[in-house]
Amino acid sequence: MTDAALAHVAIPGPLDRESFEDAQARHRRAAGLYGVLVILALLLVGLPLAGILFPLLFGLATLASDLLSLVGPAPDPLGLLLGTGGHFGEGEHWLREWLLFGLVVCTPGAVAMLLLWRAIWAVFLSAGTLGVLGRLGARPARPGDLEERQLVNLVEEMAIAAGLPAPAVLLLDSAAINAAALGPSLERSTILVTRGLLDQCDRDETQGVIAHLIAAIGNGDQRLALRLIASFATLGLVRQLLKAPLSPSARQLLAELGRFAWRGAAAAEPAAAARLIEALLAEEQGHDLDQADQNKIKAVLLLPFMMAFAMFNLVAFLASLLFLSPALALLLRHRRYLADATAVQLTRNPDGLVQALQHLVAQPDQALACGQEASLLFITEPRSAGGSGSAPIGLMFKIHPAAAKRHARLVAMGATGAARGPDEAPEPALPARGKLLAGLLTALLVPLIGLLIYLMLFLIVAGTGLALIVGMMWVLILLGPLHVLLR
Amino acid sequence: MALWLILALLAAAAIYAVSLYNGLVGRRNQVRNGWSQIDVQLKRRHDLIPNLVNAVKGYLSHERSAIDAVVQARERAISAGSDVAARASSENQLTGALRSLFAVAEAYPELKASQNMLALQEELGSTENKVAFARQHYSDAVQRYNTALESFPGNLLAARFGFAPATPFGLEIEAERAVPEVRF
Repeated sequence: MTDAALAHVAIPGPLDRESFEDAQARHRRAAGLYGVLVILALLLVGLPLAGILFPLLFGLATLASDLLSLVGPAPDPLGLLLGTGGHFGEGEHWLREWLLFGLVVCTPGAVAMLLLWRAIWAVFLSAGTLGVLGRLGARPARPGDLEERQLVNLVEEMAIAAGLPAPAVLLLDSAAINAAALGPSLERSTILVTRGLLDQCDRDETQGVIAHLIAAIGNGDQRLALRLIASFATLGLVRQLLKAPLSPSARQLLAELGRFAWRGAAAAEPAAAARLIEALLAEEQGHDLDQADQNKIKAVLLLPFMMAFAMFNLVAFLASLLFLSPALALLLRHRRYLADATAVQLTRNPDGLVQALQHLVAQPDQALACGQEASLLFITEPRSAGGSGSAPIGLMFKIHPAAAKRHARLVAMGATGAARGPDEAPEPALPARGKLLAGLLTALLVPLIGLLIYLMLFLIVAGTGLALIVGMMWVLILLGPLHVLLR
Repeated sequence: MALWLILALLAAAAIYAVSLYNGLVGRRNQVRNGWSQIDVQLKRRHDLIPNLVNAVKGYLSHERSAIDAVVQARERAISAGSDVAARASSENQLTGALRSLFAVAEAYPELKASQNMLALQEELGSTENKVAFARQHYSDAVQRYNTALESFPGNLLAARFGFAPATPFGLEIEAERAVPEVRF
């Protein structure tokens, strides 16, 4: 190793040390801050989407109230809207009027999405722990197998150390080295360990991994992860609803969801719920739209749906790329650091986790057949079978911290730094000319990225506006005559 | 205006005091819960010991003293009652007796290799760990609770509402506490 390279190997001196209490407090503060950011980002993503849904909901409300007015007195949303139109946004209270406009436009969609979210959350609860990782095909531990018996004991030990009820243990016969914790509440949590991890890690290392997972459960990470996955599923459901007039498979899915809701979540078997969740989370499966030789009237009728569907996808993608994904990545990485620090508190042995992380990084090229959402639940990012598929909305940035950074933080909490961090390849120092070049490149890139962000913001606003205008025109054209006829 | 301000301040103070009180209650419950966890694990250990004794009796007929020490330590631990200090010392003696029994068993290859013994050893070893982690959790809880009791705003409430400091579980056996003798 050259001198220059040596200079980059961090040797933890007394100044770099950090007790696990301090580390926990620091990461908890950071996670709190980023949690607020995530909530803001969710608003920024959700409000334009709610706006896009407004014409459809408004049309439905108008239709319903018109039909009601045949029987008795009913409010008249269309008349209300036409009455307030005309002189809008010009007076001296223009800001207030625009805010009111935004509120009116966004509230119905937001309420509808929240209700859908609640329903999906209920499905999640009834799907139990299988919901997200169901298709992996995990099995309970065999009591006869000494190593698996030991794993169950380890889980019980760590649960005692954390003062939590012991989670159930599932094993996955795969050579991949990974482990996940899942479950909607402290009492109903499960720890999933691959057989590969059990074979590769010794007792101390497995203990470190289990401690991390139990710490995550205790810190509420699993609940958070499930809520996020439910949010992604809500977006998927709204997408299917918009697509329903166009696509038979979307109609099929919605029918199944309807049957599920009809029977009641409590009565349904977990496997069916798991299938539903999987279908909701699945990315677009190519073009399954109705055959193209539709007549023109149908095309005109469906235009707003296509428009809303396209704009919904565009805005969801851009807004989550701009706001949600970075905030989520920051939050979830700090949750991982926090769980690492709590794991050190539980085992008082940072070395076990450090060595386990090295196994986790150097793992065989073995994919786990789980969706990318499931990576929220794992201790390190699993190699997903659908690796080629695009990352789900909201998870476009890496949500697991780099192994080298976790290593450095664990060393600061007292792990012997003897084993070097995994991909801690020391960067060669740039020569002076290289620095100049890098500076120039940055100076060029910053305005470019700024421009890109501006463009995306513009597209979000324009897409929302376009969907809103086209949608409202369609409502007026289609429902206007009917309205006049019925009233 | 001034009246409202005073009222608001009073309300804030009241809310703060209530949350402080509830925090103390929560921590005290954590301590109690931690103690009951230790209790559960210790009982589990007591229940496992007869199995162990049965498993080793046949092999260790010449090592009666080690077995007897474990049996007697178990009986003393069971009858120690709920006093934390007495309980801790008798349980520590049991730990020591178990350790020396396992050390003796090391010398008997057939015993070491028997499947039954391996499983028992894992169970007892894990139970030892569980006791240790339950103690760790208990002492963490005691430390958090006692710190909250003694630090400033908490100590005013604690005295008024009769929160007593909790006793930490004695951690080491006497032999472990002794400074090891180092010779060069």
